[in-house]
Amino acid sequence: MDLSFSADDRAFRDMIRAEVAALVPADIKARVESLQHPQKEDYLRWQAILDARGWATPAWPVEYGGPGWSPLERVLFEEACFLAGAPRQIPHINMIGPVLQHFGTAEQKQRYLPGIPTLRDWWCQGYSEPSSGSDLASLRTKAVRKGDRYIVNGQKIWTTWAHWANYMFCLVRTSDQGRPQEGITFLLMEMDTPGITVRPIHSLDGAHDVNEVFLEDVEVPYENVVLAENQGWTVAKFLLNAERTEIAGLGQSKRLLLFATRLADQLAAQGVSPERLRTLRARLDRIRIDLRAHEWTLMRVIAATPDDPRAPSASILKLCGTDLLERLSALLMEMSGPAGLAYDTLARGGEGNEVPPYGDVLNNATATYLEFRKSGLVGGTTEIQKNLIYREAVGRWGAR
Amino acid sequence: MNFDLTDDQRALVDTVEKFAASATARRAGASDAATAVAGLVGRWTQMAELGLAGLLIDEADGGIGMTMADAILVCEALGQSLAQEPFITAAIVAPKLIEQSTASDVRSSCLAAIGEGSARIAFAGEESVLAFDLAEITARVDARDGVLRLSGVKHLVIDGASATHFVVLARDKDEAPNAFFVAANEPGVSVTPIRTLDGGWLARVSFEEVEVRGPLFERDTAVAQIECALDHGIVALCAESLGLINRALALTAGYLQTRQQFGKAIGSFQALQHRFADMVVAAEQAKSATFMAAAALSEGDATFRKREVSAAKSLVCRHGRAILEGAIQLHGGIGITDEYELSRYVRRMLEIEKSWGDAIDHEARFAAMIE
Repeated sequence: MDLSFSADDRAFRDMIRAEVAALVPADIKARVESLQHPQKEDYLRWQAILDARGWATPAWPVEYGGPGWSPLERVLFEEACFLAGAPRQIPHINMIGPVLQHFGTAEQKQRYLPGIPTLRDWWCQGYSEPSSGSDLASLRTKAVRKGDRYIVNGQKIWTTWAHWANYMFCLVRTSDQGRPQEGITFLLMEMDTPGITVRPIHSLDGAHDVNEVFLEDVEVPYENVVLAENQGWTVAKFLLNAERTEIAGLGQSKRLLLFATRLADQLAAQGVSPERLRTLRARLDRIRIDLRAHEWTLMRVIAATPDDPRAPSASILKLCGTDLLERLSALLMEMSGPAGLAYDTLARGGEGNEVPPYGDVLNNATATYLEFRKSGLVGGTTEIQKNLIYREAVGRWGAR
Repeated sequence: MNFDLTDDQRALVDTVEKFAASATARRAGASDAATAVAGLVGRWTQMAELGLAGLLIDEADGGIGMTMADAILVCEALGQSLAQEPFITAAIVAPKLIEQSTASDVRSSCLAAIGEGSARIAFAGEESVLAFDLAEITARVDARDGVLRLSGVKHLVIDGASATHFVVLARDKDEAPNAFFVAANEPGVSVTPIRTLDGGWLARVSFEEVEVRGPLFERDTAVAQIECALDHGIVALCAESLGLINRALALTAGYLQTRQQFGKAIGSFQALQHRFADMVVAAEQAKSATFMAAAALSEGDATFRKREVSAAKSLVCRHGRAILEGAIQLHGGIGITDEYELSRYVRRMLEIEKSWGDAIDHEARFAAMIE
């Protein structure tokens, strides 16, 4: 065991921090650091900058134009982005990209991969359905083969950025035989195909990020199947593994922590009582301590191979990450004090362009609490993660 | 002690629930301040006709003469339907302030008007938007040419957008804090409505050289009287939380019983049952703490009262939030949507947390009261 970074790792960290810091446009940095709700434009601009530098697709291998970074280098890159005030990367870049590289046909790779690094092609993920959340394998959106095409009917929900996307990767049911997992197919479709309707869902904070996607007699060419008919669950599991480290939410937690630290200083400067500040800062420090341990858990996960039984499971990363995001966002909401009363959910939903009466910082602190109530639900609920942790843990510690 | 409702109390709760349920339907759709305030005022008049505005006012002064035990039942029922009418400010805090006032002209002219619903009085105390703080006050009243003039800005005045009058916390010429009575239509008063988290309205109210009469209280008792009146309001907020909590529990129980995953109702999973059980335990504790604080309001000992009220507010804020967060988690995706009913309960619980001191503020006051 060697608990120190190698000289190469240190050199990479210093290089990446300096370079990324120099790349982030000042206006984007200001919005990101004040926790302003991101707009599509900001993502596109930042992604174009990264693309020009060759860093648009951190998880892609060199042969596909990726930087060929190790898992640790990817984490250091993510950290550098956070420190520099860059927007977070659209997770789908590192999900659909590796999926196509691993399972795609030559034609699929040629057609779909080039549009991903610049976000010229924006992908959304059609997984959950109204009746299939935690029990994803029960999904019912049906694809029926008709000549060289599928006719797809059904409904997807919680589809992040479907309104910005021009492509969707989708799980559909192609068979009712055998276990539910055995009748699922991974299908690619263009969002402007006739029969696809996107309806917005506004979240607790008023923002519009997720959608319902209705599919009515949508014709999808058979060649848009990834891997093979009824093999979609294998693809989905691979994709889930690809977001194994992103699930830790480390960059987001650090961003909120930095914001909270600055806000505490601001409250002190504006005359909030030392007594109240002591309480807020004590909570902040406890989170800071837990976040350090979380960071090292992430290091242990990325240093191990995915099936190494000695490494902490990705579910532990997810749970600790959720816990930190929930606590940090709740603390921010408490820090915003009475000013949080004036948070206007309609303004965040884009209806009207109202200036928050007590400033963006306090406003966004409150918004963040409402926004991060999703932490324990997205990417596998807390309850499902605990089931997985138990299952792995009895295998490791239980009687054999 | 007896925790059963009397027939009168049962009838009162029934009346409020019926009214609030019908008002909920009518509230929907109002979006700008003027429309919303007009709706509030209209419904407040109806509530006054039901006797709610004068609930705590003595019969001799034109009221109903009921007690805080009755008032908290009303608050709970209002919370259950997310009522936005100014019951807590206009019918609890305001009469408590006015009744104790030594300004007999205000006292005699106001109480009946409060009971009729024509006077909707809001408390304009806080100036900081960063923490609940009644000590950091810069609004002041100065005498010039024999006339008292009030200047200052009050932020986030609860129910300020629909108020006809304000009781304003300000310093007199000797820097001593006191309360002053001001009509909202007095020259120099300007009211800026601010939309709240829950789509309700509060206000920033500024006073510029507004002519006022003498203070409401003797100088050395003013702060104590204001604290006492606000403590009544704080207990009322706790009681309103109980209504929010009831509804959140009902929505969650219903969802656990009907939502199917893995071929059965999700309520059949023990992990979810246990989380729900935790919420129920927290709800009962919140109710007990609210009763405890309501009982303390009628005790003469201010230290004891403040301690009990702060204990209740901090506990209810903490447990209320935990319950609403649990309700979201047990609902899954639907729980984080704006469209689903639960969202409004979540936001109103946050508003209550941020009104007149949160858990941190009240834990600090609690600590100060047991020293």
